[in-house]
Amino acid sequence: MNNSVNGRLARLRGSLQADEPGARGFERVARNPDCTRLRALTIVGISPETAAVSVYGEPSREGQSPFALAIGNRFDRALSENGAAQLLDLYRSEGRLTTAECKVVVIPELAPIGAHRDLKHVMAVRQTETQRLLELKLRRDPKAPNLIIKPRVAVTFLGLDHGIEPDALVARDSDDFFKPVEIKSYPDRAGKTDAADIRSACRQAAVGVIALRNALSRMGVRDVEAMVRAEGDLVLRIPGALKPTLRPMTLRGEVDSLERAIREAPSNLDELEDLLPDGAALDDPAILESIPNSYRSNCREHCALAQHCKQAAVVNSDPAVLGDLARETLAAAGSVSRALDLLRGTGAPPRTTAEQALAEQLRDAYTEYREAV
Amino acid sequence: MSQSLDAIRAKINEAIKAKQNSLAKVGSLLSDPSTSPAALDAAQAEVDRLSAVWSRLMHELRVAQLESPDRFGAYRPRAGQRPLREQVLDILDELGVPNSPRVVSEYALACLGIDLPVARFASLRRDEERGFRKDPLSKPAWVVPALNMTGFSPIPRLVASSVWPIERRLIGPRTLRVNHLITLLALLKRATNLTEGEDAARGIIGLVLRFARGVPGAWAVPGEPDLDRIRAAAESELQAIGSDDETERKQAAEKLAKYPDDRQVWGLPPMVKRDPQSEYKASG
Repeated sequence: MNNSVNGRLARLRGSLQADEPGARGFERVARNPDCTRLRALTIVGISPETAAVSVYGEPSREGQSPFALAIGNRFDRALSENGAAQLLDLYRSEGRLTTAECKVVVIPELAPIGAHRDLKHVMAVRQTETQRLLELKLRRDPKAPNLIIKPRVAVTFLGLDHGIEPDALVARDSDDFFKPVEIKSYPDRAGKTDAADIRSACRQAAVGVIALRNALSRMGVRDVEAMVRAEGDLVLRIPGALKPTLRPMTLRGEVDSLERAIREAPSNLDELEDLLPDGAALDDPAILESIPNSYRSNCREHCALAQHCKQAAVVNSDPAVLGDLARETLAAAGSVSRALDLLRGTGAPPRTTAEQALAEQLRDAYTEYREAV
Repeated sequence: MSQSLDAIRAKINEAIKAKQNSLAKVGSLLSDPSTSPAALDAAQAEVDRLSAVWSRLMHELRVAQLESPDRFGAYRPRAGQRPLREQVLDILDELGVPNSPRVVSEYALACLGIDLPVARFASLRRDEERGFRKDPLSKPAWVVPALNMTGFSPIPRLVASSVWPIERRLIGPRTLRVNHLITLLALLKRATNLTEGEDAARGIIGLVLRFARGVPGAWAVPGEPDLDRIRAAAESELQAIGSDDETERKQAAEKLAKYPDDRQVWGLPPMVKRDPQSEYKASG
């Protein structure tokens, strides 16, 4: 199975080398499940960044602001240095861990990345060590840690294991198993924290839930949902400081959408092969362009192809360029130019009842607008 | 030349005064219960900045002294100083437990006013291992990595001294916390041994406060940091968790003691159950 899937994926990648999707890759698909192009790229193992640069020959647009990166790195370091003392303190002060529950393992310290080390070997060491710690917890061994910083666990996707590194895992000694922790340097402004940031962090934590469930399945556990509930912790920072805050989150919706995306991947692979001509590969810009996309205004938050898709949407007069509300409202017309025709009564008369209803709605809205201004 | 030296000394004096003021500011902010965390962080950042200025000026002074007419021969940045490895080993002995290069470097700067760049530790470790493999008896002690209690694989980001007993070089699940507390107690000991008002004492207080931040009971009363209270809190937590950790490490040390000498010092290669899928590049 693996070999045949591997062979099919390699053929679809053409000359491109496979990228690990990582937690962000899985999270990206769940953000825009209607985008066949993004799903196809994720399935075959090509990142949108690689597609933009190597397939379309466009300049790289991915990358965070250097300020955001610097503060993120400082925050991560502050939490994980000195045996993750600050993170441990956070869980203790919130009453989630006791003084005796101080067992911390920092996985990157056991296998650091360095100029003199083979990256794949380092990742394999991290995965092996994480697996050992998960087995300790499953056996309820008293030596099982309460905090694991940057563990490496695998998400099974199309029968292949893809390594991801949640920021941390946490468990009391009495807990059945670990819970994922997602650390973000976003300022925690309670109800005013950017909802898109929180959703994105929750989806990444949900990838951790799925990876833990996968790990338990591999260890022969049957009721994995009961052992790893769809819950996770978000660690944000106090605005203007590097002190952490803790937010327990329910991740049911995020886990469901990710599991659906992962479950449907095999049929997606079949559909993708049926969609493309024989021998076609996604390293050909014409082939990639022929796969339907679904541009949304929030694509630029997560996808390196957003600019490319937006340009295409402008050329095609796609209502999506006017925002998500316009995309939904003008869906019956299919394009901005057709919607203008319906409003003005120019061009072909309404072809369907939906178009007729939209034409009336647009005219009513225009009349109200004229009266108002 | 003497004018230049005088100018640098004057700048150092100014830097010291500025640092004293900023430390006093930290103290008054701590005594005010309404102080925001942002204000505390900003004050701490200012102390760090002034420490860096002070350190740079000290370097300038050393260079200026080396260039003076009464000194001859080629200039070397570390001329007259002890080798890095010896300084690291001394500091490790003072701290008493394996520590990260960053902590060793910060301790050296705060207590001794010497700059041990963190970036040099990786090459130091490689040099030490090469030297040991060539002739293990050529030096009385080596800078070595701490070892994971399970599997005895090296932890390169934690440095230790080869002369320590095996159990002190091992890291178990509780050891990171235990070592954090032992390091805090070592810093407190150093801070109380220094004369009050001495620059090194002020430098080390900053480190103590950072390490004490996560110790339950160390900050129960708002106001001036109470070193005795911090010590009592650290000792109390250490008492609660230290013995379990020590037992685990001693048991593991007995196993490691059966291995050849070089394995006891440098550890065993890390275990890998299986290779990751080779066709994927980079990591997620």
